[in-house]
Amino acid sequence: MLLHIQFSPEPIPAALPALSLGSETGAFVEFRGFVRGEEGDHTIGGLVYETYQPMAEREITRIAEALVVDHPVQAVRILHRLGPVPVGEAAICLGVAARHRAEAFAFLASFMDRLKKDVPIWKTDTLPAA
Amino acid sequence: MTLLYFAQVRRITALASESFNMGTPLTSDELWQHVLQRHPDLALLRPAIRLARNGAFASAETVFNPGDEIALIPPVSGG
Repeated sequence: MLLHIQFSPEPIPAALPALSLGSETGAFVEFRGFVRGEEGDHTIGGLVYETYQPMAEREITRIAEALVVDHPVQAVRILHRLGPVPVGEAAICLGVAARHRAEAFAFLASFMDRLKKDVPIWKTDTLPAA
Repeated sequence: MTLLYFAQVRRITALASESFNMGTPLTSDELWQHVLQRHPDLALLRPAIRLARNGAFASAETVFNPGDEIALIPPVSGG
């Protein structure tokens, strides 16, 4: 499994090329998580993210290596924003390539559940609504 | 050992990190005793905080050594 991890304060491009290992790849699925305009019962302008990056990269790798045993995907790309992220922009983009769609969807869903439980990334603050 | 503080923990300690001069290894309970002596306001958050040693989550049996980097990990919220 190829694994690419990137944390950046820069916006995630609106379109990214599909991951593919050529003729062996039959499916590519992508998930983007966007910042909504409310947090609890407050209207917000955005969220601020931080991470403990060395550990986050290690946990992402550990989770991916565990999940690939049951969901044999070929390549995984995870991009996560850091710092302020305005409402409507993506905080995370996860792309998964596999031979078949079933393992790609299953890997992606399980990975996001695990990320939200075990990867040290935090929403630390909100930005005021305009 | 170096302690790292993130998110809610950093807001309470008002520090991103600090050094503890310990000459001997510590259990997690012993480590928490030292942390709470310096930052008693963390007590309420303690049940929700996981400890990490050198970039990996600690277990109940983990021993923290003088040269370790230890992170206090409050509930995460990525994605």
